[in-house]
Amino acid sequence: MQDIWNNLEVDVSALPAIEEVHFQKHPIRYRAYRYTLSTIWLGIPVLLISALALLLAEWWLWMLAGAFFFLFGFSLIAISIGYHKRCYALRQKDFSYREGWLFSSMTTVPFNRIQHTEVSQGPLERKYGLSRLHIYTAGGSSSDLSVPGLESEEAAQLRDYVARKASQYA
Amino acid sequence: MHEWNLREPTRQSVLGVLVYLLRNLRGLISLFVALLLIGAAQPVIWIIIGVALLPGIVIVSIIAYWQYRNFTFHMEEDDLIIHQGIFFKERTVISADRIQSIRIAQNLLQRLLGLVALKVDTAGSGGAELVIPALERPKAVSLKELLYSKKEAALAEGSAEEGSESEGTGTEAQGAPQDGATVRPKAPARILVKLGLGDLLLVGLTENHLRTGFVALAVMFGYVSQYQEFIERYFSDYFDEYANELANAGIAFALGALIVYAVLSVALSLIRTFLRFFNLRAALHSDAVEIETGLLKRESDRIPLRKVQFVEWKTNPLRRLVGFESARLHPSNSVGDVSKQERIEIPALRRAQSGMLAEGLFPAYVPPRQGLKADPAAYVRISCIVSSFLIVPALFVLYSWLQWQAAFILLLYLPIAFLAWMYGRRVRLHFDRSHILLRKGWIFPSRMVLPLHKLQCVSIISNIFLERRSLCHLSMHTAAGSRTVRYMKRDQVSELYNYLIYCIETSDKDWM
Repeated sequence: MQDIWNNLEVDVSALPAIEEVHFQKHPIRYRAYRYTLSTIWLGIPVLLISALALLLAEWWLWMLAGAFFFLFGFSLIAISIGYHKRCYALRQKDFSYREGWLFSSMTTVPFNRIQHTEVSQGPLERKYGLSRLHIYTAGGSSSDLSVPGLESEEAAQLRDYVARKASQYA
Repeated sequence: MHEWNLREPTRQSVLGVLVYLLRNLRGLISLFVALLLIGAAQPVIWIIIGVALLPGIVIVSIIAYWQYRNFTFHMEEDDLIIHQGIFFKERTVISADRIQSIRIAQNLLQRLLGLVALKVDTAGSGGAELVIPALERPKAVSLKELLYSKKEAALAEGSAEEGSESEGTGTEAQGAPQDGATVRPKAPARILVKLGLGDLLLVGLTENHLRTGFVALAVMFGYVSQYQEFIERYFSDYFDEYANELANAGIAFALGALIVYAVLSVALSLIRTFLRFFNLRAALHSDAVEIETGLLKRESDRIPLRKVQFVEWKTNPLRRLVGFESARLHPSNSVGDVSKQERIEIPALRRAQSGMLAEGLFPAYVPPRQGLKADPAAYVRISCIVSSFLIVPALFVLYSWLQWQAAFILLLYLPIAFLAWMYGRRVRLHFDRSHILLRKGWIFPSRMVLPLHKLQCVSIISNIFLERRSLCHLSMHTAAGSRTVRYMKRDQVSELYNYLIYCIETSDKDWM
């Protein structure tokens, strides 16, 4: 027990730094997928509400359509900038994920804390040939990692790699 | 040990019928109150209630009896098997090695009847809890011991290296695997706290009364709003009639209410403290913390030390004056509902006792000196921005009323900024090779101790405004929840981040 806390002298600046790791970007299809998603949830409502506004000639419907249009435009910008911020890195002992433009975050999950891993795919994701990798720790939903927009084979490879690494510690 | 044949399906104490009866009746009380409120205006309801009362009670009693009759439990090998249910029969099997913790609890009725409830937490999603609600205490204790010893035997069989638990003293009791029959080994337990009446009174008086008052108000409104419809329907006439007088009395009423509110808050704090912490006893075993507490509802908890992910100590100015601080243990979520409730709070620790608790929980812990500071200016900025959401609208509203004098409300920013500055100045993140010590707060100071090997993962959180000032937050995730330290210097956090990951990855200790 003694050696654990006497063992203080670690040169922090010499530790492997996560900033120096090469982060891998998602396939460009992922951005197209996000655009499609945004069009479905925001772009199409703009058209529908505008059509309704033309029919009913209500001023507040125009306001609503305007609001949706603004959100739609903003989401397109956010997606195109956010795409370049979103990347992942694999090291020997951990998996790191970075995302976000206005609100950014970076999370690193060491393999010796991973409970299980999972690959999932929604219907639209299937159209684009993309999959989502989930990495679960015991830390609950706040610390679970969900990595969307991976090539399906790559997601499966990643899952297998991470699961194999994690099982070494179990 | 009680002579007790557990091979055969066994029923609980016969008095358990009463426990079930009361539990069923409690479900009916809300219905009853609602009916009464309607009944106040419509006499027909009185007749319906009168007629329904007797058969109702008979039916509830019969149900209670059958609940008692159909509830049996017995042991098969290492499994505890419970049968229950009247219409939908249920058979639950709990194998001893899945048991996380066992608690003995007692509410008022159980106390009057001399019974206790045995609560078994199991590992698994959500941590399903199983309750045997009516047992005589000696039987409950012997069943608890039996289950614990079976669990230990099962674990000892399963893995040989289970002995890696942290033991501060008294390792001699942890020997060879136990046989299923013997009582759980008792390493010398140290009494951590024994709360006398005087201390209890101090704890009650130094509660955060403001919070107690808010909670009480919320509960009251919640309860009243259940019957709001009835109240409005039958009493709105009176309200209308006396509206003028009510308005005149308004200001006097508000003042009076404030005083009543203050007095009630203190009284409630006292009552709550007495109910929760009466005769609180906490003992530190070599592998667990055991806490027994409560006046009407007496509960005893046993939290295995290795389950505790981190500990928070909190205090307030009043409490600091009398030299107390409260500690809250955060066990991993798999313990079940223990982590959701505040039951694992120890409200009154003196310095020495805090030290003892820390030492028992984290044997290698020495308060680390190396530390990072937060940026207090960032705290000032964010609290001013957040409070603007209230102050700016208030300014506009007041302007239409008071004209330029409304600008005085802007003075509110001063105390807000001051408090935020003082808070931010006290945020310190200390760390060494094995532990993190996080200090926060000025008026309500708190500190948290988190062993590094309990960390699940870490994240850096930021946004574009913070990035411009090269600040960020650091989030530390454990199996008992996450804690975030805000507004730290980006380069320092990056370094710490790398260090923490390095520590998790090189740690040979299991997080649980």
